[in-house]
Amino acid sequence: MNEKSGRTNQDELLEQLIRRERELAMAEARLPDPTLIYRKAAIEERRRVEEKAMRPIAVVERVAWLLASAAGAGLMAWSVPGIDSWRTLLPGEMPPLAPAGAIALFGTSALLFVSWLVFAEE
Amino acid sequence: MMDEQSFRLLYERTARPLWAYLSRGARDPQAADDLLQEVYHRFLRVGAPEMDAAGQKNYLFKIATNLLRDRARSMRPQVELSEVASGEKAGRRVELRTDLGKALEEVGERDREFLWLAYAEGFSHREIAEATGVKEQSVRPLLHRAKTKLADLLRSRGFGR
Repeated sequence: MNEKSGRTNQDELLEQLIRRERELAMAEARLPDPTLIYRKAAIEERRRVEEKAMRPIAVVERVAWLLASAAGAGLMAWSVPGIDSWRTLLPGEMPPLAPAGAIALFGTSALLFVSWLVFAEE
Repeated sequence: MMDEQSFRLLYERTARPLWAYLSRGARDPQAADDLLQEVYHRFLRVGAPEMDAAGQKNYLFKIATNLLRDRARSMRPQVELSEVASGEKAGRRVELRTDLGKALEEVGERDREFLWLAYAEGFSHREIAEATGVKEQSVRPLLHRAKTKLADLLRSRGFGR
């Protein structure tokens, strides 16, 4: 036992052996070029920053789709009586336009909404 | 992210001992190549927090320890296969195997971490605690246990008789 440090001969022997093992292992190392590691990390960092910067734009895009869908539905609700009144201006017997217009507007709104959902998935 | 010149200096200072740690920890030099890149990659990705040279080295060893543990966990069910594979790979690379190297493989993952960080890298108990995620007070008894285990293994191999 080494009285000063409280370490045994066994400790010192183990330390020497492990240090020797370290030297052997370090001699085996074939290290890659640090430039490659750095550039790879830099590219990923740049991509991460870009994605972060694009995130508000993506949100605005989704909100725009949602607003467009809501506006389409609102327009449909507002225009149904108007479409119906056009019939009186036209001569002869006309097919019922209000249901057709309503279906067309509803279809458009539904299409917009589905498109928004698809974009949101992506 | 730190600048390229600073990274290069850090790499020159730490890559070789880090590779040695990974190589002995993973028991596979080729895996150590991949793990080394991943260590630095993670270090750069977290933004390399403001710290001194010793702190950076300690942080790199902490990442390396976590990666070695993840790898050990993912490979546990196929230990025998991996040992065969590493044996085959070892043939492709000149590898100097010592009695201690073999004994270190047998002491177990956690004990090997403690022994290597304490004796090969000269880490303090506090630094070992940071790198391995154990309490600082636990390092001394765990290190003692690892030392005893290694000494017994070496003795059983006829070392020191």
